[in-house]
Amino acid sequence: MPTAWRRLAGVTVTEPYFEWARRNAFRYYWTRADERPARLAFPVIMDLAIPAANFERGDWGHTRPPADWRQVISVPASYGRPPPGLEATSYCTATVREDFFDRLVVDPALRAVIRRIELALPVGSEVSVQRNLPRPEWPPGSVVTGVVDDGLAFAHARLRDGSEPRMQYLWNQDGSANPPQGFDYGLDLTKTDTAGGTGMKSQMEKNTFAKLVDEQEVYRKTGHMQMQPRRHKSLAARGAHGTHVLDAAAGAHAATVGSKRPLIGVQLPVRTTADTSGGSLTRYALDGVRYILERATKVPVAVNLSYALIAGPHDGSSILERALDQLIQLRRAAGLPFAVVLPAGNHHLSRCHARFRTSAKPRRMRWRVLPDDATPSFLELWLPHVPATAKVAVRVRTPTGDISPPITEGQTWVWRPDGQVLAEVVYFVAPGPGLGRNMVLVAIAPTVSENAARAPAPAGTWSVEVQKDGKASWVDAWIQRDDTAFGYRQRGRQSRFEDDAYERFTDGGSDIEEDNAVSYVKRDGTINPMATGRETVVVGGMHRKDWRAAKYSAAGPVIRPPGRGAPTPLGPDVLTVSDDGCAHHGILAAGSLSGSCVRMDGTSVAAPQITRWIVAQMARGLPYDRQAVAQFAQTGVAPRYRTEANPPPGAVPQQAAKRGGAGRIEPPPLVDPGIER
Amino acid sequence: MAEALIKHREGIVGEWRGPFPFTQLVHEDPDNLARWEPWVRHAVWSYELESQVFLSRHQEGRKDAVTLWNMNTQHVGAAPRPTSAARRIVTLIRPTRGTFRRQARLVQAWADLRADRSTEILSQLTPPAAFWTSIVGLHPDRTRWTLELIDLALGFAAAVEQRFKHALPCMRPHDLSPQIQPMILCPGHSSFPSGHSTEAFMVAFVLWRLLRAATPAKDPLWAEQLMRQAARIAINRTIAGVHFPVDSAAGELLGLTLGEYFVRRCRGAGAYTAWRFDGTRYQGNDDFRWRLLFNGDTGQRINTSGFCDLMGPEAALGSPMLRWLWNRAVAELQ
Repeated sequence: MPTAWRRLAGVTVTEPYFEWARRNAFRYYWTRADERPARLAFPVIMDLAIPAANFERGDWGHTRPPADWRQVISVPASYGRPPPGLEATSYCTATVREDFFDRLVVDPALRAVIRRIELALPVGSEVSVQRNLPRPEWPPGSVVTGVVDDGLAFAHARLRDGSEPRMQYLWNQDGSANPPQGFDYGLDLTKTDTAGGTGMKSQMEKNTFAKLVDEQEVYRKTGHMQMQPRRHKSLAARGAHGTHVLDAAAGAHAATVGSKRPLIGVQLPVRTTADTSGGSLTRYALDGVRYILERATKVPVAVNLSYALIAGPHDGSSILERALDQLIQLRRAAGLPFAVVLPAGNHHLSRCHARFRTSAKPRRMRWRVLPDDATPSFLELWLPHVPATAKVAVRVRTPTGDISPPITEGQTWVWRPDGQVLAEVVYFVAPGPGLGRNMVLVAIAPTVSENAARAPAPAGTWSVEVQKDGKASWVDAWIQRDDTAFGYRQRGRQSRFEDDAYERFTDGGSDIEEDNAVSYVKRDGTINPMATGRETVVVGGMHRKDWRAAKYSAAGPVIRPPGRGAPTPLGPDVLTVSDDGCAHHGILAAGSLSGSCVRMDGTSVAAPQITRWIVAQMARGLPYDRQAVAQFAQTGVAPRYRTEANPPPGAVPQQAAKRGGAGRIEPPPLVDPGIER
Repeated sequence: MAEALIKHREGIVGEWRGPFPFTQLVHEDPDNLARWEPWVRHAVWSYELESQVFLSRHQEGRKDAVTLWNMNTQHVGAAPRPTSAARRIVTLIRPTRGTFRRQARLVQAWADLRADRSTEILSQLTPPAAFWTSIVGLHPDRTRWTLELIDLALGFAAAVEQRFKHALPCMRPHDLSPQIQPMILCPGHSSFPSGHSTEAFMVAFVLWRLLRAATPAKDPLWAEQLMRQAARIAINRTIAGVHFPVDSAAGELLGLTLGEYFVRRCRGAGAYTAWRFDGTRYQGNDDFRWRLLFNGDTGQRINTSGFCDLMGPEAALGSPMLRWLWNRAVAELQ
């Protein structure tokens, strides 16, 4: 049988996911005509060799920018005017023209200042609007809680100060109706009225009937909820991820909270939560954090980002992780308390991580790709840090039996039966030392086609063989997240590794949570790849009843980067409550509308409870960083909290650090008085 | 049992002693209603309501309109022949084809909530008495007259809405696209106006007026909750995939107007407001916005819509037999 594998000659890849998107004429990138901008443009996140402010202003140091660079790269104006303390930030987002990716290969000026890029998912048409940045004055003693999430119910009674919303600013990143100052997309809502529109507070007043806020009407009037296809309507459902998280991070009775605990929210684009089609949310997360910091210039801020992925370098080197670390360090150096809290991730038992030792004898990973998956599937094989001795050869076998030749460093191959690219292998070479590791991306087209002209990729077992000459070394592979977020229509289906030696269940039928020595499929190392940086606080989940780690709560270890020792975390920093017990899944907190209460589980609901603790620490001028959180878990004593210093009767022994971090923290229940379930 | 009664009578009856004196019941006396079974009362009252209305198709400007008339038929003086003086109750003009096409997009968008609302949608297939009962606190033993009154209102709403649907035939969402795929069996009648919306808003309005009659200072929160509930029942039908939002808007106007007319007839002769719903003025992309026609702060009907017209006050006759029921319902809610 003739093979359908073809090597693409003369392709130099600057971004593997862009290569895959372009190879498919962007048909999985823009899934609908209305997402495709009139002038082709791609949102990216960038790692720069110079401060982002200088980059945005065209002041590239010794390098002269290309004459037309502003036509090729559009950086949000926000990055040109950093808030105090953040002048040295060297990470930014941008919207770039299609030819940018090729020019980055050959243009010495671009190469000199742009070190790395990562493609993000599109949000639809973008406009450019310049308005005056609000310069809020915060009451003395204020601490801002920032939440980047999906479904932020700002009118909820648990999020009010008296009758007013505590949310001061809210950026809904979908659409282009009213972008915030300095950015060119989304809908910016403010608490007070502005020239640009009616504020959240007025809308709540106007839509109060019989002394009851019609919250859904407020969300519709502000454009925050739109009952249109593919628009943001998370708040129309009974429970919303972001509202549960907001309540866990900052919810309180309206009469008790006062004006010193304001909130700033960032609603991520629907697309980034609704499907995972080969682009990331990192650009939106970084812009969102930036948006929060620009409005909370002089006050302490704790940001909760309850999102997790599966695949990534896991050594803190991803652009978002580096950018967050840098923002945290710069702000703290300027004397401004700042923390970012992330979940450990829920993919402990998802069979999406493989780790094995390579040798001259090929090792084969079996990758089970499900039928009826309407989004592409991705596998990332991350190679060791020392590029010279870490070259491998990869062969991919399709379910139809077509085996690729050995694919080696720098090569790009496609599998193109009948003229259509149904799979691609990109052996990506990191652009330089300290800029991440080499990575082999294997991308597979959707296994179901909604278009007769488009063939689906075969579902079934794909296999990836890895072979290495010379010194043996460890390699890791992760399958990227492809499941469906809370409350969204199912499109993606999570693929996984398969190995006969992987044991899922005990004889009694319960899940096995420890790896064996034989299988290459590992539970270890499933930790959220956005949460392996140095400075972010990472939280796993556990049961309130017996303090056992939640079985889904992902584990380290984090890959240790060369030259970076102690501060790199081994796993999550701490565990906190994400389930009331093994039979009582999830914890109770606010539903979308006032007066409702829903249960939700996952490390997403654990993280914000630590955010709440951090805000309280900041308010008292006490330590709040990773070390402080770990310290509190080990020895802390605080009213209504339990820690390893005073565990409840029946608590199981502490987990190993890669799973359980420094220890466990049991905060008081969110629903007050606590309900025994 | 019958044979037992026959033998039993033979055992005890003895010699026939003839009939005893008795009083004839009074003609048309509402108090006789207490003697009849509930279904008989329901039939009598339904006749009282439906025999006073007439439906006509006509041109309103250059638009096809259908109007429900209050006939004010009564018997005056000694002549046996009754007289009538028709007064408008409500006129409906159906939306254009283009509006329905744009509305289908909204039905598609609302479908995202099907999993979230399925329990409600399935519980509301038939008139969802449990839902308003839970707001007002009705009980078959304690508030039997209120429940009979609501039953009557529902029956009147159903008769009128089905007559309108027949006169204004409109396609269902699934007739416009095979991708709507309703999650319940789509009813075999016209889409416009929504019967669930008509009935839910009529019941909400009548219950609110009953509560106010029983307790004049009743907080408008009761009205607000009843109207929120009616709107949710109506929207659930769009989520299920069987109604366009504009159907719910027309149902709201019809339900509130029938409610007001119904209460008028129960409370004695006087004025009610007549209305018109002009579907051709409904913007195709507009979702169902129930607050355009009701103010939850005051508990009063309003018109801030661009597609409804207040056609002025009209006179209706009172009905002693309906008043009899109304007074009993008010008394048990006090």
